[in-house]
Amino acid sequence: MSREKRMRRAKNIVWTAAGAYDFTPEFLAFYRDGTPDRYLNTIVGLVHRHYDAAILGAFFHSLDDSLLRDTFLDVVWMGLEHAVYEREIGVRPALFDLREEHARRFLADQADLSMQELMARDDLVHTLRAARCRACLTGKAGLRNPWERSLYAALAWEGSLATEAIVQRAQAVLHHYFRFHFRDVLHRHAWHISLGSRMNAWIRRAMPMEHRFEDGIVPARAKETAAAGGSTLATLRGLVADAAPWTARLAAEIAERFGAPLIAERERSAIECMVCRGAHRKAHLAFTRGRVHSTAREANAAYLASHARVYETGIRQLAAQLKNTLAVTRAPMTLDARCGRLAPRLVWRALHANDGRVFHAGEETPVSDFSVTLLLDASASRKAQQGAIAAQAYLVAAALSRARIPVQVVAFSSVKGCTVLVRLKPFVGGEAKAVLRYEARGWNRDGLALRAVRPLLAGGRGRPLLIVFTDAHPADTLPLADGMLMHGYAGARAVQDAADAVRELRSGGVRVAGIVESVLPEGETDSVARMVFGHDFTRIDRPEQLAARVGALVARQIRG
Amino acid sequence: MDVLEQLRQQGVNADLLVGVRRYRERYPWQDEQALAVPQYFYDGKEVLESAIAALLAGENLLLAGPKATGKNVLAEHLAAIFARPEWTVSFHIHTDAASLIGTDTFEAGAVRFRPGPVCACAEAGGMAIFDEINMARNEALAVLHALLDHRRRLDVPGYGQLRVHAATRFIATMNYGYAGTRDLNEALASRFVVIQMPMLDEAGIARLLEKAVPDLRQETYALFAALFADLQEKAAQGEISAHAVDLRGLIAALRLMEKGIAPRSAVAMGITNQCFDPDERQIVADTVALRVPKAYAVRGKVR
Repeated sequence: MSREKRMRRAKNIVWTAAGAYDFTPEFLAFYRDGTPDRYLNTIVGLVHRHYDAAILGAFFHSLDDSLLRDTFLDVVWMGLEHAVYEREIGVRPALFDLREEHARRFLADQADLSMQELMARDDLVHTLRAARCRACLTGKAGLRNPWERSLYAALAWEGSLATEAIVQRAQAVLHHYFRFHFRDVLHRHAWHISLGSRMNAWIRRAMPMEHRFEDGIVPARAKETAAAGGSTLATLRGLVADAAPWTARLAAEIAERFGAPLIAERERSAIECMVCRGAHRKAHLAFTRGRVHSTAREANAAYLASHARVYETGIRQLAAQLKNTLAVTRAPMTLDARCGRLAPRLVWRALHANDGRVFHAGEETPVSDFSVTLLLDASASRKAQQGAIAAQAYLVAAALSRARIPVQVVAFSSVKGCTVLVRLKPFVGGEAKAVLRYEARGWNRDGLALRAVRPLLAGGRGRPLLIVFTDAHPADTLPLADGMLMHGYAGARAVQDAADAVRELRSGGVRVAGIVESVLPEGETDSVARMVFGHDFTRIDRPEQLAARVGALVARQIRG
Repeated sequence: MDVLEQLRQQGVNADLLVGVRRYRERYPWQDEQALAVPQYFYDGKEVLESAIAALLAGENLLLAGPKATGKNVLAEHLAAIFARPEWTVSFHIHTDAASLIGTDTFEAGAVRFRPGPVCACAEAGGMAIFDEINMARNEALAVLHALLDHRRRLDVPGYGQLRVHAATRFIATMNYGYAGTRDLNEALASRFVVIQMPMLDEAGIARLLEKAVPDLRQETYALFAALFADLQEKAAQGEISAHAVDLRGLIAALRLMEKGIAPRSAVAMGITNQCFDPDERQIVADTVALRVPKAYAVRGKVR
């Protein structure tokens, strides 16, 4: 069983016991072989059920500065375990079996420890834990040391205690048996043990955050200013107004920022010649694989981890919905017909009812033969939602993969007049989590990106479905070329350009749909989305909506 | 206990009971076919009142909701309340007009019409129960449109028009989101009044278990109702599918325990093994282990 599955199993045990699913357990317990410990995870959940999580959490965090933090936590948990077991055993008789099972495994696990494991374990906590396990199995704790016996007895907390009393009992035990000074945590004075405040400050000094703009990248505010402007060069003063020629230096810069090229230069140049015409004749194209390592990936992974439950649930729900849609629409409808496969039971109709429909014909519904490309707007205006967008794309890609629908994920943005398409996940051989490399920067020349992605659709199976993740706000520093005039790539012209690109894709047999997520008002973005996608778009305001709305969108596309 | 007396004890609106009595007097069942006696009565005053009112008003009734909300139990209970025979039609993806209305057949050298369950029910004035109505294709269900709206008639090609008996009522049940289900066509859905069936609470589940498997220790019903509630919540949170949220499976497990099967084995047979995904099965097994002891006496004897 993989680590993720073991974690999920352990969390589910905690949530079952807690009767709540809206929190991330701070503590999870596993045996040496990685198997979740049903008993201790149940205890964690029951503690959450019966005691005030905020008060207990504050108490636990007050121990963070302690050198013996782990020992103190384990000791306190032993007291909590006793209290909650006593409180719950009357209504949950299975706890007895769980505790016995835990005791047997704990004692068996300790019998064969390596030297490193013996050195790493906390002897005091182990002694107390083993004593409790022996008491559970034999009725006798088997402790000889008077101090340990006294501490063991002091951890037999009653089930009737309320949270505040639990905290006071814990403080009393730690004060009496460990002799550190403290102040009452309920009045927000923290525990301070061993390290003084200056030492703490030196160890915990945070590096200052640097804010800088990448070359040619302008914050979102300026984009809105440009979008409000007209078609004169004056609007674009101070911004990049014309594309640099494609040079080795530009190629190297693109590679450094966006990863190694995806296709050979000759192929890239051919696509650019074909696509960058008319209003886009001054633009360039690049296709890359994305950077393998990036700070964006770490940040996105952290975001996903902190919202793991929402997104894992969404993956399961969307995958189930997709499988369901495929199963339902895949089934051919059998019709009585005048040709096809002979139906013996209908033959009499030809003789006696003068009805020649004695054959069965199946209505073909080849809906499983398609692939999906997710096209993500990766412009700087999406920076604030970078983690969320990466997680949403991951959710959709993972769900499609589970439903055995080929999926690739491509992000696009524009820098220095070059629209870069970064393939984060290929159809074959890539895992969904590679999508977390998504990084928002640059501008977004939507119309050009939609035209440029077309060659990448050919790698999939059957009829392609393109789903565009967008804020319905195309904008680029490189203007649209219109004869001798240059129009800013923003506002109505940019939207029309994107709509034209979608129309061209659809006329070429590509189904296109949009997922709109924007901080701008719904009325403003929806009208733009309608212009570009027609009825084939959906708006997402919260991640919990994603599975149902994307499922409905894809189902509509599948059914045609 | 008499069905109407049982409703009176539940506190169902007395005017509705008067309405039911009048319906029964107006449409007494006199055919040879015996009226089925439901195994369970639905326990839920508000839902019963809504359903009875809908049928008294001549409306078609759609009961929508997830598993274990008592849709079929309510439908059968309503048939008993109104003292009409029931025709249950289980819908599936291959359901077509012929399987509903009927079809030609060749019998004794002549072509004859063999009526389907819908025709038979409509002629007899029965209670038609369309089970899992949203598993059939919408195209196949279009044949029911004229039957379910104000026209109340059925045109059978080649055989004329079938007039629906005034006592006939149509009840449909519907799960949604499960494998094989689909959205109900708007034209069809608008011909029903809809009751969203509430999930049973722990007390309701315990009462139902007691009716299904009586004479066990009282603690047993509370314990297994709590287990069922845990599974329901876990499925609602998306951690497991609805496979394990199976009241029939739970009742079967209790019956197996009565026969001497160990508690966790019995629950495994009735519930855990309904999950074919191994990860899900493990999570369900953990959930069971948090409630069901290894040894448990259902009738005072440890097994």
